[in-house]
Order: sequence, then structure tokens, then C-alpha cells
Amino acid sequence: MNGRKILWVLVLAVACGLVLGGCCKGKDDEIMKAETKIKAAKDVGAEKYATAKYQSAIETLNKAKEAKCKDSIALAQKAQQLAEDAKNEAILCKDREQKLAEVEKKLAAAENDPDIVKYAADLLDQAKKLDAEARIADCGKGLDLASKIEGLLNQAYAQAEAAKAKPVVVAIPTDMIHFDFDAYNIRSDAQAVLDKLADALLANPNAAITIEGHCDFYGSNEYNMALGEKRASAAKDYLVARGISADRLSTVSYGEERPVRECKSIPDCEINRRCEFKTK
Amino acid sequence: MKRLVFVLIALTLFKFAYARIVIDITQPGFSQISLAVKVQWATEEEKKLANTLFEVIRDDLILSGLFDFLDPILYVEPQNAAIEPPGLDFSAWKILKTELLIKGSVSIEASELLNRMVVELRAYDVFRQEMIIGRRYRAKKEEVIRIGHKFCDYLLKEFTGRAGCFDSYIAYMSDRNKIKQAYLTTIDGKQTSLLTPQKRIHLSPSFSPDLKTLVFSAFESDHPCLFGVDILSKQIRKICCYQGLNLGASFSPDGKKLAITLSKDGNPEIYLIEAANGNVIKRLTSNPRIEVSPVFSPDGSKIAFVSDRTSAPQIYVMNADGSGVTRLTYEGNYNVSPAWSPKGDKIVYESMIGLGFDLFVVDVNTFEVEKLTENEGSNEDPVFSPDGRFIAFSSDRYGNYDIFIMNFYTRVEKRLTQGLENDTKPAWSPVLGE
Repeated sequence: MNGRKILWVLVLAVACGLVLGGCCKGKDDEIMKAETKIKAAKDVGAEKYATAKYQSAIETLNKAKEAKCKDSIALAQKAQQLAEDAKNEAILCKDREQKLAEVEKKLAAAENDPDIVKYAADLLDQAKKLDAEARIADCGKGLDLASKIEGLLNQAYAQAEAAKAKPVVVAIPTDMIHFDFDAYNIRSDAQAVLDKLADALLANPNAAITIEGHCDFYGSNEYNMALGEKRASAAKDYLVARGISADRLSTVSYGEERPVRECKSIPDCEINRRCEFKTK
Repeated sequence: MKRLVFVLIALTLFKFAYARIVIDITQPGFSQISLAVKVQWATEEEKKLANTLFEVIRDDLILSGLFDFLDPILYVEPQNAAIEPPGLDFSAWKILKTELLIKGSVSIEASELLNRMVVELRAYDVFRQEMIIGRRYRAKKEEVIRIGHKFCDYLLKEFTGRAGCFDSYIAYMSDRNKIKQAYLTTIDGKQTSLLTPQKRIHLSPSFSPDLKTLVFSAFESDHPCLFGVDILSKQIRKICCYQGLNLGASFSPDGKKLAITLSKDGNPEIYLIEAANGNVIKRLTSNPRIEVSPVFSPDGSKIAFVSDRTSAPQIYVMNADGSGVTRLTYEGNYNVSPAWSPKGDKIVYESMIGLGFDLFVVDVNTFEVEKLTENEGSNEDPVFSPDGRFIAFSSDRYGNYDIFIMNFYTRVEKRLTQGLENDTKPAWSPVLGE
């Protein structure tokens, strides 16, 4: 053979090779693009966060590799699209997971905050409802809801702050306490009433009260004036021990002069052996 | 009440001829003296005054427990018989077995302008046909009640050696106007006047020894302050108003000091204060429990009071400077409201028995206790009369509280006030001066 023939075969072979390669011209490109996109999706965690779409992209790429030229390019392009979608979803869902975790932590804190529970219970409830929704919603909605939850919690804290700063008008309970005959010690049933009163006074630092001491009619009016005063003082001392400052509590005695009603015996007269509490 | 103006006439010369019989009601041999009283008049107006005078003398002498009164229905003497011998015929009275005869007359002076009357009173020992005492009074018509009382006071002095105290006042608290106020009454209950018209709760009246003032406590801004009212002018002044209680003031015999309960230092305690201005002289007690109701003894050396330092109220006595506290009552779980006898040997008080109170007397030296009331409701706030013959107190035996007077020797009780209101806490004044 001569040299020219070998050259033509070579050129033909190269040409053919080129043509062969060229008539699936772009296939490799597309496949390479798809592989790059799939890698990019994997890098943002699409395997975990957009599993379905990711798997789909890989399958489609494999099909593209095996398919004939025209089909291959189309499949590869589809694979690219899927990979893109997977990547986007992965980013969204990762964000959602993070955000929701953040927000749920804040939500838990708010639930344990007595001020929020007291002053912004309604907002707290709304946030909890949205959280339940966010957990089952898709990632986009979930992320959206998480933001809303965060907004509600911020509102709740602001509301609680404002409410605390305002002087709260707490009703001072005006239940009476009663005493044994000729006694001025505070009984246990009286302690319960005084505890409630102390709480109300602590919650309302501007309130002041008058404590009235009263007696039944047994005994001289003079002795009962003194006994009434001892009863009022005993109630005052108890409240002071609970942290109420003494200058908020004034005492008066009416002795036997102002009974609740007529009474006939020592047990019956307990109604009159009492302290009354009047807001000023 | 204005001072009584009267003229003692020479009748008193006859007194020297009379051998005085001294009667002692406490002696076992004692029996009541039969008594007749007759007061004469001429005009209708004189009749009214004469009847009032008759009632006062009759009621006072019955109250004394010394006399057995003969009903006027039995009298046989002619209507206008003379009030003294020789016109007075003792046989008309001997028939009735009268032992003491009191004859009197009321004549209104002709000059109406002066509003005066002349009252003649004679007390006769019928058996001996001798005059015991005689008095002529020239006074305003409104003084007729006081004349009757004064006469009986003298008569008792003659009979027992100890003057009576019928010419005195009782002050007490009444809620007849829906709120407790202080009233003044003569002990016959015939003349009553309101001393404290203010609409506030009044407590604990007490007379000054010179009878010019009644001190009392009254609520002002939610606590009792100490006030005094001038008995003649009815003017009220504030004595003191310390924080807390200003309660239950009792005069010292010289009228210059008051023992009182104050709680200004954090607890009801007994203090001595100036009667004029309420300034504290001395704090007498320092016990974390209740100390109330101080009363000066008649000689001013001691003060009785109530304390629950043993966790139940009892009566105690201390020196007037606060030293030497001694417990006086050991019977019963609830003893309050002490008051001294004029001799300073006994203290009357109320003690809780069952559902109410009864009056008791304790001897200050022997600690012996005597019970004075029984099964007659609840009896409280006892005070001795200035002659020691009587105890005034309040009792609910007829429903509401009324003031009663008890003869300490016979235990006979007389009701002084009536009505639907509660009358409590009597105070007995000293005997009125001339």
C-alpha cells in the first residue's frame, strides 16, 4: 500500500470519528452539565432534603448516558432540571428545618415564661397552632409559617412588657377573718385569707388598706375596744411578716360597737369576732 | 343645775333635845321603821309640787331599805292639819303604829315674778313626839326634787350616822337616738337631760370630783378620743387624742390627774395624764397583753384595773405609781369592770357566768367574794353610790339594757330607765353641794 491511502484512511477515520462524535455533538456536554448540577444539588444536601427529586435526577442521568444521541441530550437536560429543582428544594427545606428548630426553641421558652403566660396567652396559643401546621406543611409554607410564628412571639414579648409596666388594678379581696372567744391569735383559717390578701397587696404596690378589729358583745365595752385593737394589730403583724410595708396598713378598733348582727351564744357570736379590711 | 339656795331656820335648836337613835341596817336585830309621809298644799299649783316632793321623799326612804312605808290611804289625820305641834296631833299617827312621821308643806310665794316657793319639812319620832330634823327651804319651784333628796340625805345622817346620797346624778350611755350618747339623770329618774348631742359613738362616762365635768370617750376619725363636757354649760372640749385608744378615764380624788388606757405606744396600757390638758405624766403598765379600765381608789393611793396577762381578763390592783401589781380575782375566767366602794375596802365587778354576767364584790384585804345577782339576765357595768349604800348597774333582764339601782344591804333592786333603747355604763356623781 502506499502512504496516501493510509493518510485518507486516517483522515476518514478521524472524520468519521468526528462525525460520529459530532452527531452526538453536545451529548457529552449535556451529560457533564447534568453531572455538575447533580453534584451541586448533593453539595447543598439534596440527598437528605430533596431525596425524591435528587434520586429522580440521578436516574434520569443514567438513562441519558445509555440512551441514543437525540434522546440522550433530552434526558440529560431533564436531569439538569431535576437536579436544579432538587437543589432549590434542598435549600428551602434545610432553611425550614433550621428556622423551625429555632422558632420552636423560642416557643418553648415563651411557654415557660410566666409573664407571657399571664399577659400574652392568646398570642402564645396562635403561635402553637401555627407550629402544628408548619410541621406538616411543605417546606416553603413551613418556612413562611416559621417566620409568622417568630413574629407572633416577638409581639407576645412586647405585649407582656407593656402590661407589666402598667399599674395593674388587682381587686383587693375583702373577706373577713374571725377569732376565738377572747382571743387575738390568727387561726389557720384566717391565715389562708390573709395570705390571699397579702398576694393581692404585693401585686398592687400602690394599694393601702384599713384593718378594723371587732368583738362580740361579751365583756365590758372598754375591754372589747382593747381586744378589737389587738385583733387588728395581729392581722397587721401577719401581713407585715408577709412583706407588706407597715405604712400601707392602718388599724382601728370598734370594740363591740359595730356587730355584723345580733348573736346569742359564744359559737353564734363568732360572726362578730372579726377583722374587716377596707381599701382606702 | 344651779346651786340650791335655802335658809336653815332656828328649828335646828330642837335637834339638841333629841336623843338620836342610830340604826344599823347590817345588824341582825334590825327591823324596818314604819314611815308615813304627808306634804300639804293649798292651791292646784302647790298640789303638783307637793306631790312631787312626797314621791321623792317616799321613794328615797324606801330605797334606803330602812323604812316600811305606810300607804296614805290609811292616814286619818285631817287634810290641812298643822305640820308641827301644838296643832299636830300625834295620836292620829300612833294609831297607825307610825314610828317616823315626815310632814311638810309647799307654798308658792305671792309674787309670781320671782318664781319662788317655800317648803317646810319636819321629821318626827312619833313615839317620843319629838322632832328629829326640821328644814325650811326658799327656792325656785324647779328645785323641789333636789329639796326632797337633800332632806332625805340629812335624815339618813341622823338615823345612821352616814349621810345619804340621794342628791346626786347618774350619767349613763343610751342609744335611744340610734347612736350611743351620754345622758344625765337624777336618781329618781324624773329629770333626764342629754349631755352629748353629737352623732358619734360615746363611751365610758366619769364625773370629776368637783362635779363640774363629765369626761367621756367618743369616736373621732375612727378612734376614741377623750373629751370633757361642762355639766352646767354643756360645753364640750377635747382633752386628748393620742393615736389609737384614749379610753376609760378615771379621776384621782384631787381632780388633777386621770388614769386612762392609751395604745399610742403600740399596745393598750394604763397611763397617768393631766386632767387639764391630757399631757402624759407617767406610763403605769408595760405588759404585752391588754390593760384597761383603770379606777382610782377613793384615797388616791391605788388603782384597780383589768388585765388579761394570764390570758383571761382579771381584776388587779396596783399603787398609783404603777408599782406593786397584785391580782385580786381568782374565781371565774372573765372578770371585768371594777369599781371601788367609797371606803376603799371593796371592789364591785362583773364576772362571766354561763351566757351572761353577774355582779360580784371582792374584799380588797381578805379577797373574799360575794355574789350580788342571780338568774336575772346579764348584769354589767357596776358602780357604787358615793355613800356606799347602792350599786348602779345595767341589766338586760327585761330585754334591752336598762339602768338599775341595787340596795347593797337588802339586795332589793329598782329599775331606773325603761324603753326600747339600751341604757348602759352608769357613772355615779359625788353628792351635790348646797
